[in-house]
Amino acid sequence: MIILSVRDLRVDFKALQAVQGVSFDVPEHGTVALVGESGSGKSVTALSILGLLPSNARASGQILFDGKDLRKLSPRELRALRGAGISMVFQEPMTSLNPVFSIGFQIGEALREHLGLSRREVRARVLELLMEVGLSDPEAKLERYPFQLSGGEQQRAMIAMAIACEPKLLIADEPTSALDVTVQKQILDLIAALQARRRMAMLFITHDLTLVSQIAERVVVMRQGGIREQGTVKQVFEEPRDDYTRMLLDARPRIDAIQTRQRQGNAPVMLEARGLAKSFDGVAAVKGASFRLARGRTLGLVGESGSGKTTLGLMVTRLHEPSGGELRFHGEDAHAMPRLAFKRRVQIVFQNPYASLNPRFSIGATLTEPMRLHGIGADQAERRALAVELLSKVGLPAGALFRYPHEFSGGQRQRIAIARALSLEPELLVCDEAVSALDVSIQAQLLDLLQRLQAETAMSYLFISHDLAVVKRMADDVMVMKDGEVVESGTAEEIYADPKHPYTRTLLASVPR
Amino acid sequence: MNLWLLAGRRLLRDWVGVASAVVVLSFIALAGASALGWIARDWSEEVAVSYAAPSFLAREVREVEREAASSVPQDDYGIADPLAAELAEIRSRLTDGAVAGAKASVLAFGADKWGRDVLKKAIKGTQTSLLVGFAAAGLATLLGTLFGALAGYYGRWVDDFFNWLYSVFTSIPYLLLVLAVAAVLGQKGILTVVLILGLTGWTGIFRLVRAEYLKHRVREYVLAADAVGASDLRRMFAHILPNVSHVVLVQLSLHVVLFIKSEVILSFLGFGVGVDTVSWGSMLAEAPSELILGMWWQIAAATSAMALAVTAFSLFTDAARDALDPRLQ
Repeated sequence: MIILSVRDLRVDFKALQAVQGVSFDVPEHGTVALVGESGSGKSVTALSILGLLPSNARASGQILFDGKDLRKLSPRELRALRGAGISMVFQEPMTSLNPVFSIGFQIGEALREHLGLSRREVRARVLELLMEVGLSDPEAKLERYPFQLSGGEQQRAMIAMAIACEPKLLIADEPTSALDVTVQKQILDLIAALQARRRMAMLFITHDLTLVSQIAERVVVMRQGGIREQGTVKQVFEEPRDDYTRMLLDARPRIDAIQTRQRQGNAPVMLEARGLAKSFDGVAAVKGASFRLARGRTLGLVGESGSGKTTLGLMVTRLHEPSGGELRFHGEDAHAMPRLAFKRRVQIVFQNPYASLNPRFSIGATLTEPMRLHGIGADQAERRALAVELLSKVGLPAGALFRYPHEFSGGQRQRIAIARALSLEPELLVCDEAVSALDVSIQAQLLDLLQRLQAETAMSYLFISHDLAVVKRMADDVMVMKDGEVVESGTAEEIYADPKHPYTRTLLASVPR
Repeated sequence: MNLWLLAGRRLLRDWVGVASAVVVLSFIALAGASALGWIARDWSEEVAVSYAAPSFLAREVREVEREAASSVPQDDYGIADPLAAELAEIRSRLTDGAVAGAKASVLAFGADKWGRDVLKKAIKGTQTSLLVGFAAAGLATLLGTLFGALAGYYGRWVDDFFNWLYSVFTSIPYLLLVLAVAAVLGQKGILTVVLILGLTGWTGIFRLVRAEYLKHRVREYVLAADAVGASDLRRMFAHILPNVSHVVLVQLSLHVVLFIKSEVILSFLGFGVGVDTVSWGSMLAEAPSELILGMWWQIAAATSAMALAVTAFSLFTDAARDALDPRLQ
């Protein structure tokens, strides 16, 4: 029995064809995963099911839910269906919840709207729901506002809201992408349990193939608005017929992959931190971190949001002054070195490729600025030539020099950011979540690039990431941080094979495989 | 493609923006021509009788003279006026030499009390008003941007200091502050007006620019500039300023309009330009006594010029803001 059937769905935004003839079915009580990278049209497909497309979109095709064509329903009928028949959980719980209403009020809204219950009945139902989604102390949480909850609690509240009217179909649009890996596991377990108990059908939208095998029975792979492949999870994962699917499967970083890195010998220690600490207005972000990093090696720094790993990275690059401890670079006190001399040797690549390039600077200006500041190259013409060389090193054409950041994709921008850091030929490169914002296929390309560059120049990396699988691929040594403290450190083999600290064990157990 | 180019293209698609830009540019051209002495150089000369009415098709001077001659009192009651000869001579001496020869043939907006051409006064006034508007807005924007950049970028005591300065300036009623500065500076003139308006008008721009700098200084591209070794000044003005320049430009444009109006008010109150200069404000200051006598042309000339310029400039500012809005990019 099929509950949702999408037939030849097409959605245009003026010149852009976001979805081009997509057809798939969701069986009753079953879970279908819609997988694709950014721009594949998976979210637009989900929004068109609920009739939530923006007004400049034009849709055609059929969306049959329980035998009714949703595209032919009046706005009124559609509104009645939302929440009660189909409901949705969004990616960013913080922005999908209204900040000025309490959690209890927002969950109760659907109940008042669709079921017309009294105040007392609503309150009792909301309490039940909060317990069902596993929020601790639901009585108190009822009165809380979204900002008073953690990201995981917010997403639980969103889920409670979505299931309040017992929908037959739940659409989950990247429900765990904004969450830490341990929380992601809890939310996935919750969704799976709820689905089994309530016998809902689910359309699970994600960019992360590793999640799919955990939660879905069928999978639909989308790319650039079209379907590349669909079938059962077993079939698609074990015998992918489409090249793109195969590429996606190969590109995803695997935590259970065998380490293939060539180890460097015993190189001299380049960077040493002793009890490095930082507090903001009395709140400690990093509480005394100590580590050593040798030339040509990669130190992976793993932790969840708020663990202080970014602050530590900023201290290592002298972008933040530490409030305690010391940092030694080649045996010298790093903070006593001249600012420019230090910055020339230690560079950083940031997480967000959309924010880390100045939008008003052409790529040429971005790349030649550091050289000019450090007196590399005799004149602008020579620096330009060097910039072209850098661009080819990171795999971009020379023509990029005269263009502006907004003309490039996220992956290309991150290459430019890497080229900027390389322009000073640093000895240490701090990569602060440098690939986390990118699609898996782009991510794999950039990781290859970073490894190639390291082999060529014998740079050291401080590789900061929340993604344990990516760190496993990159790092020789690993350091795990939690709440501003380093809880465990050692070689990558030790940490991944035999974690000592309970937190490291939880982290490793939460990674989707 | 360059972002400025994109903004320019969007502006060209907006017909209100283009039309208002044309009007603004012609005002600027008018003021420029008058500043170079191409037109309205002789605005202060007496070209007509006092309060000559507007006339697009003025009568020929000869005609006027003939009329004057014919209006000589007739020999009433058949008695010859014994003084007729002398009176005629006096009259001809009074009128013939100076005024009759100087009478212009066309005065579109008539003449003022001293027989000066109101149209030329309005053109000369455009020059003064636009000069004051642009110079004062430029000064205020410069101060506001500089203070806002320093306060927002450095924070801490620098921010405290400029916020204190801001609070002092905004806590005093604006007009009172302007009058106080005017009284202290003592002398009248365009420079004084520019200083008064510029030194008191930076507060709004300061607040906006400071907020923008607070937002931008923690952005990753600024951190990245720090990481490659860019100095504070370079980060502040080479990196952040181009990213907040749309805010600054729109404020500049808004303040030109605001200060043109302020100059009019100041001159009307007698704190504006001196008697040897003419502005829309000084023309309006002369208007009340004229209106009682039914002489409407001076106020009509000044207000229509001002209304047209200010409206066009405001519309242009709106269009420029829409075109520069980064959310639409």
